[in-house]
Amino acid sequence: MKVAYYKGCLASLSAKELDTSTQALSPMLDIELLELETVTCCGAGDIHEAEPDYYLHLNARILAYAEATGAQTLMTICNVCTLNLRQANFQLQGDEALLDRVNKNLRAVGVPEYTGGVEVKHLLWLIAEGEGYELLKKVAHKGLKGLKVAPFYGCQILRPSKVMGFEDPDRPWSLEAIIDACGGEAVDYPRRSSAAASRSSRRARRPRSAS
Amino acid sequence: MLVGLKIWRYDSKSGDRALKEYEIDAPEEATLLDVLDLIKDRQDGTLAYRKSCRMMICGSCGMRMDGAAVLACKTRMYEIAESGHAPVISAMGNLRSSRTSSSTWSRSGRSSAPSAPGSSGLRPAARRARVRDPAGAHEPHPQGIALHQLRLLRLRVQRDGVRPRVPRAAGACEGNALRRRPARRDRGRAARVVQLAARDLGVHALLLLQRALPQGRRPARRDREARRRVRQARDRPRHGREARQVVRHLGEDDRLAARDGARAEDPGHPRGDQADEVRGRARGAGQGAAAVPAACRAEGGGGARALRHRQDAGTRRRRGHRAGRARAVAPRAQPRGRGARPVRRRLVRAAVHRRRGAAGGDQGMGSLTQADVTPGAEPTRKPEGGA
Repeated sequence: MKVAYYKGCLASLSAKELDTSTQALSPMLDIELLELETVTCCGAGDIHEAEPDYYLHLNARILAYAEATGAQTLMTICNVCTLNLRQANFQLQGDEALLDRVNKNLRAVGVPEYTGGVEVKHLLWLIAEGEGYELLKKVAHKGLKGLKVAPFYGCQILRPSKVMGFEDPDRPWSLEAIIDACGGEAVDYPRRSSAAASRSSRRARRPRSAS
Repeated sequence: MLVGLKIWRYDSKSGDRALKEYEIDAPEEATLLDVLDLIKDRQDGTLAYRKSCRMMICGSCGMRMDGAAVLACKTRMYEIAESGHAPVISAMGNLRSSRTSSSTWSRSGRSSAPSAPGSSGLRPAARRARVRDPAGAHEPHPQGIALHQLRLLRLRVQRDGVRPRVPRAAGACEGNALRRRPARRDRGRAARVVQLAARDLGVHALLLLQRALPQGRRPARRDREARRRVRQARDRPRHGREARQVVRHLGEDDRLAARDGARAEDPGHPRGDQADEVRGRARGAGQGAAAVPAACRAEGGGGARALRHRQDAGTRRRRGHRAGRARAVAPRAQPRGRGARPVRRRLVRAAVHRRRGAAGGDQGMGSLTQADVTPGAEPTRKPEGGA
């Protein structure tokens, strides 16, 4: 399976282990990575809030370059990148006038046009569904050996459900499937799909606690 | 828009200068620096020039356009392109072939000297890099392309000025990153006042806030409790007589005089100093404190009355006051004179005059010159010169 690989900022800088492990695992799962060279940050949560139009163009550019590689899937390894790209894709695919205006700007700066033919998927989804699960069972030879693992999804890989749409945000299963494929035991607990307080919320004013 | 430029190019190997013409399609909002970037990216990668902040601060991109010194990042090309003019771009010493690095330029006076192959004046590290990848030196860096495209995209987005309906947090606005709102100066002042008040009263601030709320805004349960407390306080059984009001207006008649059986002619006693009674009595020689009780007894209970008055001080009404007050209620026969005196003093003086008048002027009870005598009895004369 050929996928356009978008690693984002963290996997390039502060969390290089994400990129390293993805590069190592993908051949074992029969995933061919087509790395995108001239891409930039997806904007995380800040640009989306401050300049929504620029955020659209930014992610449309990434989608356009992914489509230019010939792949139909753009694979991400970061939850925030997945949410941003999927949200931008959702808007562009649903509004032709918006897509035309964005393409006009992309053409003017030398970026290929985007026709809306790319689907953004997280590595987790590619592994959990289809043949990836069986392949992972084969390659996870060291395994977790019965280790009890508590999966934490966070919120951005699950919500909003109409944009993400892979699994039920209240009853996710993909991480449990991977833990099971690796020989571990997934532990259920109430806050596995709650938000972990992103940067924006940490900057917000804290409410005064009652003294 | 189609932008034409004529750029003086210098070859450090041969030392030749040549004017080279370029024509490129650039956006309308492009500056001279943007056009140079486009030329370098798409047409001629050997074009080299200095740039840094791209926002008219550092001055690195200074060059000459038609002989005039300009900042490339500041010079808009729209009007020049519309007029069809192709300006001549020359360096203020910073346009050169891409074979030389900026480190060579930083050495003053050496940029114009022709450089021989292998000794181009580059630093050893830069020279090695150039030898290592001679072909890649002509290819634009992908990250540079990305940044350049982003910059142009940003310009176009700002020109569009469109605000798509993207759900975002309240408080964010176009062009402003989320930032913390500055704390208001008066915020917390009311809370601070409450805290200080609570501290002074020794109660928790929350309790004070709840107490301070008007009835209509408090929870219903608290309103009920407050009303019950007031009702209980009002209806609780009280011992003794009902406390009288401290302040009584002269205009109102509470009928206390009638209740206590005060007579109209009762002169009453001044409230202030009970020693005035003793002071007013005449003392003869050898009469001192021992004679006072006898004199008082001889007066027919005056002393007893004074004693009783003293004993009952605090519980009984001052008859004089009641009678005096009753008289004060009556309309004045005489108009108010100038320099109106306080009512109390008037009443006391009136009572004193009455006593004097009843006892024959300067005699009788309360006389300042003689001891109290019963009418018809011989007065006890005061020693001459005595008080």
